[in-house]
Amino acid sequence: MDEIYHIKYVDAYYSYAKKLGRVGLATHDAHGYVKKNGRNIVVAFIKSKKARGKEEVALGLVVPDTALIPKKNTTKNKILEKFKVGMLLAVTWRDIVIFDYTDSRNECSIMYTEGILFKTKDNLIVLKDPETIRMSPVPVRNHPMKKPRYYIIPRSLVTDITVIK
Amino acid sequence: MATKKLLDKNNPENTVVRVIFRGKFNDKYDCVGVLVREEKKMIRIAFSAKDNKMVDFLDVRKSKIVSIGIIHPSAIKNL
Repeated sequence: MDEIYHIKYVDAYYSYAKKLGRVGLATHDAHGYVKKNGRNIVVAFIKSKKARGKEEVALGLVVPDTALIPKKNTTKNKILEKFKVGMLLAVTWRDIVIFDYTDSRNECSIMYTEGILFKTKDNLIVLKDPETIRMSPVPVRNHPMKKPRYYIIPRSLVTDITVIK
Repeated sequence: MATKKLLDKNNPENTVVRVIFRGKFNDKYDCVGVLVREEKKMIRIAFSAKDNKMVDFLDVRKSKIVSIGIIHPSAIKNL
């Protein structure tokens, strides 16, 4: 983990606003030492140097490979094409994680959101009145703890969708 | 460690640096990021940003720095 990278990526976010204004995806970027772990990009911001040359990530980030801009993100995720606004959906998606040495991570979180499909754009979906839980890693927990009104999820992070109603 | 000024505010490009510094218990740390602030006694390294606004960063006291160097843009890879 010695090579230095600059990565650009998209991330999901939520809103407590009653009325959702214009939605879009912000460009996130990060510098660090990068290691690939399957479909996960582990970015070490700070490495701690241990005895006998051993290294540990003291602060880092795990990004799903599909979150990267522009390479992976230009492939259109067609998973959503058959779903219509107003449907109650269950969406499984991969989330970006920031971690420190107390909770070292090599994989992104797997999230599960139930909500009403409110809006779709080329690169994102908006779920209204969403309820989100982090499925992996355990323990399973709500995210965020207080339910937002909208969840905006990049299409490229979505791995599965089913209709509830 | 006394360091000369690395941050050129007139340069529109990011100054990416690698910093090795000592922690509280004299343990060593190695980090890479954008040098965004340089003062008499401390520097600020930004690790991530959202729409060009800094999100994660670290302030390092200059007295704790073991070494610091600018990373040439050609040594920075993109994914």
